[in-house]
Amino acid sequence: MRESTKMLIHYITGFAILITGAIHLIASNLKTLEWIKTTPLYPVSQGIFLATVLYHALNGLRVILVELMPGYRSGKIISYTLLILGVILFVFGSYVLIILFGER
Amino acid sequence: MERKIQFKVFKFNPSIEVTPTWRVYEVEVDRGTTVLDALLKIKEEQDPSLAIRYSCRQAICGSCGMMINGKQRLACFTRVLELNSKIIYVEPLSNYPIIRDLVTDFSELFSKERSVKPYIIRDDVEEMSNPTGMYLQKPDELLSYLQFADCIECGLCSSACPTVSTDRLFLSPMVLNKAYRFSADSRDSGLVHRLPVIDSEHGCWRCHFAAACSSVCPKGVDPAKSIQLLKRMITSTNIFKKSRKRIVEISSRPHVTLSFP
Repeated sequence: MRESTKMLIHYITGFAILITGAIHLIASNLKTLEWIKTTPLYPVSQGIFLATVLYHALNGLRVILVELMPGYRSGKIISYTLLILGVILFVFGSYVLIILFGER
Repeated sequence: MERKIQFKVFKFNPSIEVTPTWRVYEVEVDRGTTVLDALLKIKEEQDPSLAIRYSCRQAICGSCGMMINGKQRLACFTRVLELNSKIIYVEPLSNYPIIRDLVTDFSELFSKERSVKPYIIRDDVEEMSNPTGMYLQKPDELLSYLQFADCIECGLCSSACPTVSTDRLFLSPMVLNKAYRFSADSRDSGLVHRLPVIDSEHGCWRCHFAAACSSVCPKGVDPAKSIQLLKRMITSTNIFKKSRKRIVEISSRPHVTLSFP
């Protein structure tokens, strides 16, 4: 994947975090809008929130590490390590979400 | 009116010394004396071993870039009294290997520059080799890159860049500005050939827009802006498969038509 594609996804996920994070905060803190949590789209938005936060955070970490440890080989190692870490965290996060919303 | 100013100059010869030293010199300067004039006076009258690189003395060649009172400046373009300081600290540009004293090694920067193919690239190779006409540009097409063509390759921007100081593989503002200058040129269709380098892990996306490069540029080039424009150009051409740029076609007008009465 080209760097421009990675960075475009980074910016899009940043915007998505803003929206899905706002939905989560509003639904959790405003009693008048608590009904949002009961809609079927709420678990979907939380799933998107999980995926976008993971991509945005881990790609941000990759950018920092790639700058601090420049080199073709170190770049590959950093990218694949973070990709594996991201997949593990996504699977674990999705499992938690399924348990949480599956009970309802 | 002449005034005596103290110069603290960085002295270091990496081939025979382990640690650098600072030497103090006193120089009489007047209103028009530049830092380069003062350094040459030191070299002529006090310390012939002082190494300085310079050429044109009028901010065109970009050879005399150095840190003057902690900021990247051209020595020939900086008047001593304008610094408003009794002690002037002069040291080599940061982010570059030191050859000797105030002379730094630009070879890595120039090899990065070569990697972005800083020249007009066109698909009509035969016409490039044996031109039969000329490429006419509209004024707005010229203005789209004219500011960025003023770069004199003094390397001050790359010395000021915080990303260059951490990531030695980062292409640097000077090189990315050069890549944009040619990619934005309506006679050029070579962006696709530059993409593997400028759209890489250490390419234009590592610029975090600190804009330190633009603040030290002695020619007002604004490399920070050209890097952002380069990001936009790459996004529109690489991702959306769309370019705003019109590539000019060859004009049937003869290559050179000069006639005198």
